Amino acid sequence: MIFLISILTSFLLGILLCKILFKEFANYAPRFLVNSSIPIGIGVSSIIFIVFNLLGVSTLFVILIEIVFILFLFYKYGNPFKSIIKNTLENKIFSINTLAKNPLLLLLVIVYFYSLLLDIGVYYFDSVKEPHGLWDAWADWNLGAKMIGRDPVNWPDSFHQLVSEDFHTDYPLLQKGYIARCWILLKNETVWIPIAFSFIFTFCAIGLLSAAVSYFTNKIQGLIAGLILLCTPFFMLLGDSQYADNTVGYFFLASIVLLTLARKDSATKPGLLIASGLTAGLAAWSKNEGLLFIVCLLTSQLTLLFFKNPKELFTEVKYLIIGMLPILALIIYQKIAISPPNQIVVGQGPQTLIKIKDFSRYEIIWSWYKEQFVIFGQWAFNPWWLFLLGILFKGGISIKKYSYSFIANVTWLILMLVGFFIVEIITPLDLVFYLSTSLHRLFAQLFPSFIFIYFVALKNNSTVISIPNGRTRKQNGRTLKNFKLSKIFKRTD
Amino acid sequence: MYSHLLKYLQNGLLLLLISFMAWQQWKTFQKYKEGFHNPVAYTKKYYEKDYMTTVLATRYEGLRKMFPHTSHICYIGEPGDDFPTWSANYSFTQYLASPSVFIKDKIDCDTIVYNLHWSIHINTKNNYHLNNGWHIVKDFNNGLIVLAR
Repeated sequence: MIFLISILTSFLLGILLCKILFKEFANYAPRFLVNSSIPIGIGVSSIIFIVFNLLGVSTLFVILIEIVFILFLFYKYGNPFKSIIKNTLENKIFSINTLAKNPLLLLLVIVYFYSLLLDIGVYYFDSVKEPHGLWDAWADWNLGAKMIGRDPVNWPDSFHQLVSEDFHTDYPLLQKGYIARCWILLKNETVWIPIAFSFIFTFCAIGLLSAAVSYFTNKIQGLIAGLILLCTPFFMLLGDSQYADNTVGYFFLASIVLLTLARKDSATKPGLLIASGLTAGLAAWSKNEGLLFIVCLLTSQLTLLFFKNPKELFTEVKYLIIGMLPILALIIYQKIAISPPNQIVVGQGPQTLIKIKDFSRYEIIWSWYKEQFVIFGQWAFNPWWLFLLGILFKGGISIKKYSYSFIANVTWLILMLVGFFIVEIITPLDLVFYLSTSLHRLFAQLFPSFIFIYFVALKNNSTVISIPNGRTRKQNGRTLKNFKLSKIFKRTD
Repeated sequence: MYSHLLKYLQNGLLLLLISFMAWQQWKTFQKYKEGFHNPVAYTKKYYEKDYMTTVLATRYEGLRKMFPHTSHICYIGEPGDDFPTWSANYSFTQYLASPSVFIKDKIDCDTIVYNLHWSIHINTKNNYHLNNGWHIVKDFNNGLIVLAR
């Protein structure tokens, strides 16, 4: 019972936080709200648990604190569910009439839901076969959760004693902390907690991508975007392996989507910017790559200095930083007081310069990048040509509509790839071993964000007009009611 | 004329895309058809039948019960193991017998665990620890042996 309440408090916390930060937007995009609030709730609950645990507070008391916090938010901001339920009912994906008139659209919807059910099945079957997850899952994430759950008092000392190279106890604590929280309250180390944890992040990433693309373009493109992720076998494999790559990839996507949303029109939106900063912080709280993400995200904003009013830009960056600052403070504390030294950081020294000057390393990494580009995703057939065809048939890429976001997002994507490249150059580990075990996962972390950036940049998108007056969704609905095959790629605004 | 052609091409591309996705998912279905055909039988066949649950969890159960709270224990693996095997056995020990911390590069802790998954028993005649003040506290007869000073 207490366990169920604790899960409910996490979800409620996420919904309330998103409702407060997104305000009007949340009312008009319930699918977006659901897919963003549950993972954010889990992330925030994990932070609350670790902070109070480090302060010596028992887990049961932490849940009480969460409940009090939720009651306070309810009291201050009112019941968020009224509008969510109302708008969910109003925002049907497609009406039956529309589907009946358009066989191609009907086919798309069928393939989407068929893929969704199939992937849920695949996830279940893989989890049944490997309930502890694959190596990194049990040896890093679930081991960490066990150590916290079995000894909630002495775990920081134990983490410090273990060598990072073997168990990665220097990694951030979102996944470990939340699983431990559940195990403590359940008084049972059931394998279904990490399985459910990864399930939520894997499928919420698909849901968020689909909802965000449909919001920025149209519902058909939203379905296609979600379908691409659903049909990527490697994405599902990463999920049911219980690795944290889908978790960090989810927060990359959420942060980029929220930032794009905040820049949809000229007015500064502090709530969305803070939410974007919060999700960036949660990315860093999920995996070390999240720290690189924050550096690249902030650096990519600097490119806008050439295009945007600097004062306006600094205000935006200020809100971004406000959102991530509390989490960054916790991560800094964790790195200093709890973590053993990171193997890549410790391995730096005079050899670093030698590695930087060694061009054969660049050649090796570049060849791996090229190879991964071809074989990425474990598809039966290389999918990249579809993206190229998409650009060709849609008449290219348009950066007019969301120009600031497009510039910042593409810069961020390039910086991430460059960042990964630099880490690979200076890694003290065997280069080929490191590339063979990590590069495909690093690409997978970026993949949902890449799909989002791609679809928003495509030309001839049906654009969304201002949200607060509530006309937009109705307009979209009307467009879709009169949907014809020949209008699939036509502007609908 | 041109725009008409483009629309047909765009619809064709969408159809191609959907077909490709459906084909990809059909291949995935084929890979998991045993499960999809009979999920209940699949679950019965595989659930809790994995190596970690059936073999390893049972093997380490005694060690885990012996150290229910955090202890710092030196870890000695099977001599002659190659690196991946040694590393895997060390990781299994840490995962299944946590919250104790197993220290791998130290040999002089008060408590020591031998993980002789292959040779099973310590060679009492020339073992360093047994000849230098340690004694066997518990031999689980599965290669896991606890020594104390």
